[in-house]
Amino acid sequence: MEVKTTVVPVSQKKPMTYEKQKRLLGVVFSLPALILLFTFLILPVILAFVYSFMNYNMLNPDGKVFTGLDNYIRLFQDSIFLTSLKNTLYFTILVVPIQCSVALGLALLVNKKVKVAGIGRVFFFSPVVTSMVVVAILWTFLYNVDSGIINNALNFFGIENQPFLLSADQAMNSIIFMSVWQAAGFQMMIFLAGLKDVPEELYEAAEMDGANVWQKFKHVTLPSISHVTGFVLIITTIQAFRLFIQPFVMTNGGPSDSTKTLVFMLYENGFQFRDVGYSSAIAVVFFVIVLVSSFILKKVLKQ
Amino acid sequence: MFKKLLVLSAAAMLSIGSLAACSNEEAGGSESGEVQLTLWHPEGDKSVAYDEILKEFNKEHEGEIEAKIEYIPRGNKYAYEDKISAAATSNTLPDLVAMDGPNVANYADAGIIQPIDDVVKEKDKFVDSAIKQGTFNDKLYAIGPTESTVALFYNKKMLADAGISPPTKLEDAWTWDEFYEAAKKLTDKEKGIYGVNWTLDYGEWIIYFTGPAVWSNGGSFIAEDGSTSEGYVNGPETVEAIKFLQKFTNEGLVNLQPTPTEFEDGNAAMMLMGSWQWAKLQGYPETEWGITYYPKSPNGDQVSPSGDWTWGISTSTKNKEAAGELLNFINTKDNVNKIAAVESTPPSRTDSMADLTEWDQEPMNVLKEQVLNTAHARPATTSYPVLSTKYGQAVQNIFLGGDVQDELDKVAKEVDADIARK
Amino acid sequence: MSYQTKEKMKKVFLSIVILVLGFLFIAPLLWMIIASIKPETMIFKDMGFSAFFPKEVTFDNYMAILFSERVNFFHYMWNSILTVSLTVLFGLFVNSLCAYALVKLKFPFSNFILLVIIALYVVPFESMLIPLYIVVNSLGWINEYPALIVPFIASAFNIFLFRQFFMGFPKELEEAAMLDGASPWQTFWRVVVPNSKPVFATAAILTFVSQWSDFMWPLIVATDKKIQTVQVGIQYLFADRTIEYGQIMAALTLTTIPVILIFIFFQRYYVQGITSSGVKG
Repeated sequence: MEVKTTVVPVSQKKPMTYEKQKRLLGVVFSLPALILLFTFLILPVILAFVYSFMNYNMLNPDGKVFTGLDNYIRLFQDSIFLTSLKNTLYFTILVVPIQCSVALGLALLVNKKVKVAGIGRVFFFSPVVTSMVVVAILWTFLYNVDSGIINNALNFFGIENQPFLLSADQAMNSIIFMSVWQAAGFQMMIFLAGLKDVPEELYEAAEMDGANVWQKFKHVTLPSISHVTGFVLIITTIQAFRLFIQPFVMTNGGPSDSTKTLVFMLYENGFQFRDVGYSSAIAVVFFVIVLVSSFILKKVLKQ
Repeated sequence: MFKKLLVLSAAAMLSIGSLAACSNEEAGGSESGEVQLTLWHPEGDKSVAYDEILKEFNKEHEGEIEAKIEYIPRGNKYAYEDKISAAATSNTLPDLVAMDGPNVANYADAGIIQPIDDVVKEKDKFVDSAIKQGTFNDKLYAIGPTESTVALFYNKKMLADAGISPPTKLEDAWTWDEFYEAAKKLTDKEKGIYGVNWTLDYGEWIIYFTGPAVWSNGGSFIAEDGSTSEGYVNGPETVEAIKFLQKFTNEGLVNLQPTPTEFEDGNAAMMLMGSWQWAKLQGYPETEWGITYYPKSPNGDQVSPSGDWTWGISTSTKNKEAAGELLNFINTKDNVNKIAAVESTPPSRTDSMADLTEWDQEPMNVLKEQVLNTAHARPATTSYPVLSTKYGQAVQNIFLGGDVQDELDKVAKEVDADIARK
Repeated sequence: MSYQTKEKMKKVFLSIVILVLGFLFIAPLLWMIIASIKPETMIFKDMGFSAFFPKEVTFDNYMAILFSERVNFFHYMWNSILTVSLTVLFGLFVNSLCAYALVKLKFPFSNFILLVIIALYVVPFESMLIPLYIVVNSLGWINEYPALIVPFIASAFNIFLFRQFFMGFPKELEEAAMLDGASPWQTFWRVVVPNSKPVFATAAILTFVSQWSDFMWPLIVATDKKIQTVQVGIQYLFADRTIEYGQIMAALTLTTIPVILIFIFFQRYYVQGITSSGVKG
């Protein structure tokens, strides 16, 4: 509320044009967030950037020394980096369209005016709040090679047992499937907020024109939530790039590094091996890769 | 309602300044020259014993030293270590810090803990493996009240039904072949029963529980002087030992994805597990449990793993003398007995071990004999985190069918690259 | 078939689809709750469908947690509720205001600032843990409440989210308010906020969830029990090696309840946003 009081005296002293006042207020309004962002996000990022040019053992901060581009040179010669990059891209390219479609589907379902819609929202969202400990135990069990429920279901259709998490070929796909299940509720909530902003009148008008369900979806819903869809696609892409916790608790990056991701590598080097410099270099390269990808995605979306 | 929430947040916004302001005032010094000591230890069942010991210590030193212990939850695999790392980056480590045995070398090398040869009083009372685990570059850096070991737990009825009688004397410990034959006999694929259960936990566990197989076969992980792992972690003896273990997973004698209580629920006949498993088995009184020795290589002696949480004095302490006094206090015979009594943990002092008469009887005698006679410390090298992690991942791949030599060659390459950087 | 019965049939069909699909999503949560009331030795004995129908029910696990002598569960719960609620409340205010300013009150560099903020969302928290710790430590906040709140108030994700929704906000409404002589602040407060309930609810829920479940940061900045959160606190219940799964499940159930309650609370703001004011798209 203090914001309001600061404005009045300014406008009394010297009459300002509305536009000028708007601009000034824009700065004032955004300042609290910008100061906080600078201190707790930008400053650490700058620090990480500086560390990426250093040999820095986490346990021995006084012994850190500048080593120029050493960390970056090492990174581009590290075969695990290429594997991790490949795995991360594979995950992202597959998970983004699947997860966003599932999320939109769920959002459309629970946006309907039926009594169970509220319960549906809670149910669909529940994996987001369920502890990763429980999720990992249960999915490891569902994916069990001998007695897992998924293999039982496959047997029913005459398909033989699949190794899933135990196979270098299937582990990443298994994690993709599980991730869609776990995180779709998150995107569903954003889509839902978008769907609530679509004016009812538009649907009514379309119905009067005799539009069917698909036509209404294509010509009313999709265009009306396009700003939300773009947003969801971008944040899902970024979140997908940051994949870490699922392989960390379910496969430890294996088998044969098949589920090792960039953030996994960053964590392993930074915390387990306490190599802050190398870990920071991975972070910087990661940052650039994701930024470029998001930029490309944005261009594609515009078309 | 909605606006009210926002107004509330604006009001709270103002109060946060005062919240932050008052926070700085508490950090006053201690009054009357009393020395303040802080200790960090991971949270666990031992906390109750430590609370008691510190209370006693503070009473004995009233007006002189005041010690406070903070228990840190371990959370995921490395949370406690991550916290120590974060504190090290800002010199906010406590005076005394507990650490898992293999971390000693790394911490000593980074200079966050200091030598304590001149501090520790009854060094000769501790088992060799405990001293060795706390030593780096010929200096003692850490000492702890307890030890650990891995033995073969078994379901008495299932073994009796199969006509198998596991060894009861250390010199009769199963050789690999005997162990393998027993596991094969006990596996019943129709009923979903496995011969052995061994956890495939991803953290420190893999090097800890497979170590004895390697050492017993004459292998090792790294050169004695820590200069290279080439020819050690991928040497012929090590490869042979891991190939032996791989037989179990290749032939389905071990479940690669067991439930957490497979052994307890009667779906596995034996289990290679840490000494702490005995306490857990007491929750299943309807089954009779036994313990036998870690199997040995046909080419060597019986070896068992070792190492537990141990105490070091941080370099940032301002009161080394007081910290040393507390360190010795924790490690007196009486207090070691107290800590060991929790969870039936093996003590690291030989005289405490002698006091534990119930450990002379079956099956606990197995644990005692292993700790006293066959315990082997994990390598003390600054590259240990890389070694342990990469080796763990390699063994994981090997158990899933990977080539033993190839996988261990990769470990040697990674570890040697890390050594070269230091 | 009449129009009404057809509509009714459609609704019944939809409801069944939602419930069946819903079960696939909530099953793990249900499993967790059911495991928490089973005796320890029964939890993994049966993992089939019958795992959902316990033969024996016990509340020992809850008793052990709620009335533990060593761990004051309510204290940790209170710390979590306090710090997370404050983070959410400040966050809604600061981030929505900033997004509004960036989108609607264009000032020099506002577009550039927006780009930087969106780019910052890319940074994985794992890479910032140590630098952020260094910053927070230099402010003297280790073991103090602000360490758990202040760094997470401003959020690139939330600013981005608000920005996206404010962009689609009908110009007519704002212009009408301005013609009435409303200042930009009044326009924001009286027109934009009341008409954007769904996005505020979404931001609140998503922030609450991510802050509530965080373990690593609270663990690192809080050694003192005074300010430790429930995610850290429940770890005290678990011995380091012998794991009591029943108690873990009970503790996890207890810590999940507040999140579900918050979710249900904010759900009522998912009402049709803008149509009520009669603006045509």
